[in-house]
Amino acid sequence: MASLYERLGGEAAVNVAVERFYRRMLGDERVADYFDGVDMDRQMAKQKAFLTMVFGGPANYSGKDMRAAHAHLVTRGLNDGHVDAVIEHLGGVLKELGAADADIAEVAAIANSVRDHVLSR
Amino acid sequence: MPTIHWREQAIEAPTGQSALDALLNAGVVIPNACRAGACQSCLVRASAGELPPQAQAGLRDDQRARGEVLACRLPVNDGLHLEPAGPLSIAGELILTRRVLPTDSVAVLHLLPPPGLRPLAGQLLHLIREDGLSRPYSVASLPDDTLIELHVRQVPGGRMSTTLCDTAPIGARFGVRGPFGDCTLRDGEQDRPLLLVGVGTGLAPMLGLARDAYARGWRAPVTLIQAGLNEAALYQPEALTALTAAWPGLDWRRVVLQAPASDGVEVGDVVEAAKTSYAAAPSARVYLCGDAAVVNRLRRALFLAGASLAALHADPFTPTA
Repeated sequence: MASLYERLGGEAAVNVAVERFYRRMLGDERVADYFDGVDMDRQMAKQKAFLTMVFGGPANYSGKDMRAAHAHLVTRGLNDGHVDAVIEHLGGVLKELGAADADIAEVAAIANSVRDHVLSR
Repeated sequence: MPTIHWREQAIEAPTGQSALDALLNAGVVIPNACRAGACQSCLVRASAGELPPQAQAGLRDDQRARGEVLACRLPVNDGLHLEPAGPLSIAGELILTRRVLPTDSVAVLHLLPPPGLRPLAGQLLHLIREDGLSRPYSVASLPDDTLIELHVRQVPGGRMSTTLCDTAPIGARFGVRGPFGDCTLRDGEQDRPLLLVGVGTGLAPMLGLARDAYARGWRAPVTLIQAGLNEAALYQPEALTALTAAWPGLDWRRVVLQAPASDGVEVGDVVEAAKTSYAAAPSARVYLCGDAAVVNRLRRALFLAGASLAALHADPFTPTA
């Protein structure tokens, strides 16, 4: 069976999803402060890599990258609530793009699998 | 210690050093300014070696394909062979022909280009002083204009801006590289609204784009927002006076942060002004230019308001080292 990445439409779909995802994150006061002063283009590139990974696309992003990328945020108080917000927004974007509930659950599971890396545990 | 090559010259440099620092330490003259990958002054070409994506961020596809790379963002690595970015980017000399000072701190320069240099409105040119000092400026003129128009803010103690605004005589020559950048109008979009926001001398490329839109017979609404700290900062170059007189349909907004302001000048935050104009034309292609802090705030606010980053062209001024 084709991966979710392929079923959603590959890179073009990720490009749409990443904008919507990033817009939701910046607009959510629970997590928005963590993006203050962050270069938007670089951040989008990272989020694109992240979405590609959780959609099961060509992976060039790993849990180790996630750990290194978020370590400085953990010292600023990043916690499970923030990861929950990310997964919630991922699900919201996927729903907008017409993904099935089973696919959304699968993406949430993949995102959950890097939770401990993100939180330096 | 990695060894890199500049043409035939072998240069040893410590791991982690940028190619720019390695070249400068070896006595190679490389124009440079921001050292952060933004100004593209230090553009060189790599004929061999590893080029990480961040060292080519912001370059056009054709530049990447030629191996052009930003030396300040390129860590040295064994086997790296670098050379000048080539005749495509060295455009010759500009001759300072006319200088108008609309306010104490801004100069509007008109420069005679070398044959073949016809930058689009909104593109960047790097002016190079004879000692190699280089700074990027945005183009306010059109490709068919005889003279290229640039706006320069005089920065207190600024080496290049003092030269350009004050000490360089008419007739002075400057090296030029470019044009660079894609802060330009897109062909075939005359039915798409435009939102142009220029803060300070960020007006220059926005004025150029507005003039370009007028020349192309733009059919969709065009908004030009000129913003500054106070009304004294809202300089009015001759081309802007001419454009607003010729094009009454242009929505020309002037916004200042600090009161007082005359009739027709709004007092407030340029970000809020841009948001109201964007809300009135959400299909607009958006162009932003000015100091990095305000441009980044504008970009974020308009992205959150629904603008796709692909339709948001930001040209932030980054401080130079």
